[in-house]
Amino acid sequence: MKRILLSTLPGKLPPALALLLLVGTILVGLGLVVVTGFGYLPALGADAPSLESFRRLFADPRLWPSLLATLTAGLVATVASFLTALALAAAFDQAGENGQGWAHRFAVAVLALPHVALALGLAFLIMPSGWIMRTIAQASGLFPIPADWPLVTDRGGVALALGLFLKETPFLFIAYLTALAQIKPASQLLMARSLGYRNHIAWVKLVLPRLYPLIRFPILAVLAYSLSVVDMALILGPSTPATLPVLILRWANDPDLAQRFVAAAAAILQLLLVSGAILLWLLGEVVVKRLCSAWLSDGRRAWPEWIAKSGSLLLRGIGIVVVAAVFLSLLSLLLWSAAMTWRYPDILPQAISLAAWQRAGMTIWQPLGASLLLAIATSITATVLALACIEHEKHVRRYLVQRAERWLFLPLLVPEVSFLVGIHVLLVLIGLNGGWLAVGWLHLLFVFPYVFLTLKAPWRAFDLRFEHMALALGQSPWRVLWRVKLPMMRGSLAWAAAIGGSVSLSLYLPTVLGGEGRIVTLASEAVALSAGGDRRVVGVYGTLQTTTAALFFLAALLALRHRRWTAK
Amino acid sequence: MTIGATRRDLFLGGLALSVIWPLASQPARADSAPASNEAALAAARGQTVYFNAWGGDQRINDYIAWAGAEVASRFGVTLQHVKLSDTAEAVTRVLAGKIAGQMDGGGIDLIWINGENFAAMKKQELLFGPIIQLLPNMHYVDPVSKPTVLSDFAIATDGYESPWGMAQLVFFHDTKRLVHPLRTLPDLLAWAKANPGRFTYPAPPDFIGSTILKQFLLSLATDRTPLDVALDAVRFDEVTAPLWDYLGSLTPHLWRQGRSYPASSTALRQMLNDGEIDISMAFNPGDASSAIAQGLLPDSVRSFVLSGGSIGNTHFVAIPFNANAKAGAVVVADFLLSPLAQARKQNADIWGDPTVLELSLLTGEDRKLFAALPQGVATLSPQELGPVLPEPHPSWMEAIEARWLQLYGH
Repeated sequence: MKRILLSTLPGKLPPALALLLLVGTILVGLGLVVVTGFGYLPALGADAPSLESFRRLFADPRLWPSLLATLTAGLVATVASFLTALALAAAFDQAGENGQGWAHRFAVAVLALPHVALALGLAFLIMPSGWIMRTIAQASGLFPIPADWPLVTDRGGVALALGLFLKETPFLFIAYLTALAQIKPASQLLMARSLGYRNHIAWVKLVLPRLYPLIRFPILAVLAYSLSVVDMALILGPSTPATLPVLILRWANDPDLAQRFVAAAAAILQLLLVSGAILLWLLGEVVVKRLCSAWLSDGRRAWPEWIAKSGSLLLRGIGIVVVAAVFLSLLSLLLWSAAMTWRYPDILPQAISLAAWQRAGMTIWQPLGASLLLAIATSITATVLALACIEHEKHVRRYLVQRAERWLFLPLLVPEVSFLVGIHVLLVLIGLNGGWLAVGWLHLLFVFPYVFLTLKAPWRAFDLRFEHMALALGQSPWRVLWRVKLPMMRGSLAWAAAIGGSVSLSLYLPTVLGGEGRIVTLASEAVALSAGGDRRVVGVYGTLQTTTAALFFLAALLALRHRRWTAK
Repeated sequence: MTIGATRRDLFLGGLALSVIWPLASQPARADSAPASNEAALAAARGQTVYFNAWGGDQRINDYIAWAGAEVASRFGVTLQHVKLSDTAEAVTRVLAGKIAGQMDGGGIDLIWINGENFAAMKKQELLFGPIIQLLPNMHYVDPVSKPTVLSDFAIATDGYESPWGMAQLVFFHDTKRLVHPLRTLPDLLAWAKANPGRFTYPAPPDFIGSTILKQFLLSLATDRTPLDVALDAVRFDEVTAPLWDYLGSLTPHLWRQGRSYPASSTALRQMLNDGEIDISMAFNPGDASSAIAQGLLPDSVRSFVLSGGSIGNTHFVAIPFNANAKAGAVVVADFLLSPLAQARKQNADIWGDPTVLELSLLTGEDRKLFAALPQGVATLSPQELGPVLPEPHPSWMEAIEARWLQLYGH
C-alpha cells in the first residue's frame, strides 16, 4: 500500500497521508472493537479469544425485539424521507426559484437543529401529556389526567421513525435541490413537454434517472444514521427493549466491565446490520430499475388523473405536517426554556422565569468559543483536504481514493461509543489525549466524511470543458483551480464546509473522550447538563446550538447567492 | 516520478509535525503518591484537580463550583468540574489509560462514584489508595452508626473511597392525586388495581429499576439472611418467589400494562411532573424538595418510604490509579468531608444531600452548622425515613436482573 502510494503520488503526499491517517485511526478504533468482541482485552484479564461474548449477546432476550425495532424504525424513516424529499424537490423544482426560497431556508433551519432538541420538542408535542393532547383535553373536557397511550417510546419505534423522518427529510431535500442545480433539468423538461409529456411524469422519467446517482450517498448516509442513532432513540425510541445502538451504549457504559465484551460483539452485529441494510437498499435499486425500465420508455405521457390529483394532495398534506411538527417542536422548546412551571393540561406555561437563560449567559462564552474554534478549524481542514483528494484523484489513479472512501464511511455506520474507546487508547499511547489537537482530530473523523461526500458528487459533475479551455489558454493548473474552478464551485464548497461545521458543533463523545473533559464545548455542556432531563436546560442549549449552526448555514447561503462575485 | 516522497514533502511533513507536537497535551510530571495529609497539602498547592462528576443537576454543579472556590482560597488548589452525562464515561477513560499503559499523568484526578462502578474499578485495580488514612476529616465518620460508609453495595471499600453523601430509596407522590402515602406493598398493589396505568419503575438494569426489585424482595422476604451472602443458585427460585409473585399481580396494572418501562429515573421524574404517573422514586431523600425548588416537580409532591425499612447506601469520591494530581485530589476529598462542606451540602436550599458525618463526634461549633439547616418541604426527617436496609449481596442482583429481563424486559 505504502509503496503504491509513494510511487503514484509525487508531490501529492500530504492529502494522501492525511487520508491514510484518518482511515488508520478509524481502523485502530474498530480493530479494538473486533478483538474485544472476540474476547481479547488483556487489560481486563481476557487474553484468550473466544465466542463467549457472542453467546451472551444472542442469549439476551432483548436482542431480537431490539433488532426488529431498530430495523423497522430505520427503514421506515429512510424510505419515507427519501420519497417525501424527492416529491418535494420535484414539486419545488417545477415551481422555480421563487418557490424554493422559503422551503430551502426552512430545511436549512432544520439542519441546524440538534437531534436531541428536535426529539425532545417532538416528544413534548405528541406524548399523552403533550401539547396536542392538552389542546384536545382543554377543548373537549375529556382526559382529566393524561391518557395511558404509547404515543412516544412505543415498542414498534413509530415515534422514533417520525422523529428521524422530520430531521432527515429536510437534509435530503437540500441534497436533492443541490444536485438538481448541477444537472439543470429545465431544458430537458421543456423538450419533454413539447413531446406531450405531463410535468410530473416527465420529471420521473427524465430527471430522476440522472438525479439518482448524485443523491445516492445522502440516502445511504440517512439509512446508516437512522439505524445507528442514539440520541434521538433515547428520547423517542422504544425502551423495553431499546434499539440496538442504545443497548450497545448501555453495555459499553455498564459498570460491570465484562459487559464491554458484549458491547463489542453487539457493535460488530450493528456493523453487519447497517451493511446489510445498505446492501438491501442497493438490491432494491436494481429491482426498481428492472421493474421500471419498460415503463420508462413506454411512451405513456400522463398519470391517470386521480393519481396525479391525490398524489399532489397527499404531498401537500405531508409537507404541511412536516413544517408544522418541526415548527411546533421548536416553539415548545423555546417556551420551555423560559417556563418555571408548565403542567398538564395547561397550553401555556403557568409561570415564566428567565433563570435558565441567565445561568447560561454566565457560563456559555468559553464553551461557545471552543465550539466555534473547533467547528471552523475542522470544517476548513476537512474542506481543503477533501478538495485535495478529489482534485488529485483525476490526475492519478482513482482507486486509492475510492478504496479509502469506503473506510471513511465507517464512523457513520457504528455507534461512536463502541469504537471511540479504541481511538482513545491510541491517543493515550501517542500522548495526544486531553488536548486541542486530539479533539480536533476526533472531530475530523466525523466531519471529513460528510464534507468529502457532500463535495464529491457536485465536483465530479463539474463540466471539465471549462477547465480544459482554461488550460488550453495557457493557464497553469493552480491558476485554473484558483481562478476558474473554485469560484464556480464556491457554493458547493461553502455548503460542504457548513455541513462540516454543523457536524462538529454537534459532537459530544468525541469531544469528551479526546479532550478528557478538559475542553468544554456547547455540545458537551448541553449533553452533560441535560442528563438531568430538565426541558428548560435543553430548550436553552438547543436554541443556542441551533443558532450557532444556523450561522454556518447562513454564511453558506450567502456564498451560494453571490456565486459569481469572484468571476468578475 | 516514482522515487517516492519528494524532499519538499518530507520537509513539509516535518514542519507540520514540529508545529503540532507542542500542541499535544503534555501533562505536568505526576506527583508521587502523597504519604501523609501534610505532604499532600504541601504538594497540592498550584495543582489542578479534574473532578469528574455527573453534571445533570444545576444545584450539584453550583455546589461543586462553591467547593472549587473554597479549595482555591484555602489550599491553592484549582478544582475543575468535568461534567459527565454518565459516570461510566470516566471509568472508560481510566480503563483506556490502563490499556495504553499510562501509569501516571492521567486525565482524571477525582471521580464521583459508588456501587457497581466502584466494584468494577476496584476489581480491575483502577483506583489509587487506600486514601482514607490521608483524610483527617474521616475522624468524624462513624462506620458503626453508618456501616455503608466503609461498605459500598456490600463490597468493602478498603479505604479506596472517601464517603461523600448518604442515600436512601424514597418514593414521591403527588398529594393532589394520591393523598395518603402507600406504606406497604399490598397497599401499593391495591392502589395500582384501582388506578391502572399510574405506577411504573425504570426498566432494570437501570440503577433505580434494579433497586426497586431489591427493595420489593427485601420487603416481601420472610427471611433475608440468604440475601446477605453470595447467590445460592439452588435456592434462587425459592428465595425470590415472593418477588415474582408480587410482580405477576402488579404488572398488568402498571403504566402501559407493564409492556414498556421508562428508560431512567430522570424520565420517571419528568413523567410525574407531566402528570402521566402518580409516584416516582429516587435515591436521594432530598430529591423531591430540590426538584420542587427548581420547578421540576409540583409543590404538592411529598415523600414516603415503605414501612419495614428501605435500601440505603453511600456515595463516594475516589482517585484513579493514574491520577495526575493525587495530592490535590486528596486535599479536595478531605475538604468535601469537612463539617463546613458537609453541612452546606445537607442544606435543602443548596443541595439537600444527607451528611456522612456522625454528628455526635463533631465539636459543638460544628454541630451548630447542622442544627440550623432548613429541611425542605418534601424531605422526611431521619425518624420518618426509618431503618436502612443493607443491599443484598451483588451476585443476587445479576440473577434477579436476568430473570426480570426474561419475564418483562423484551
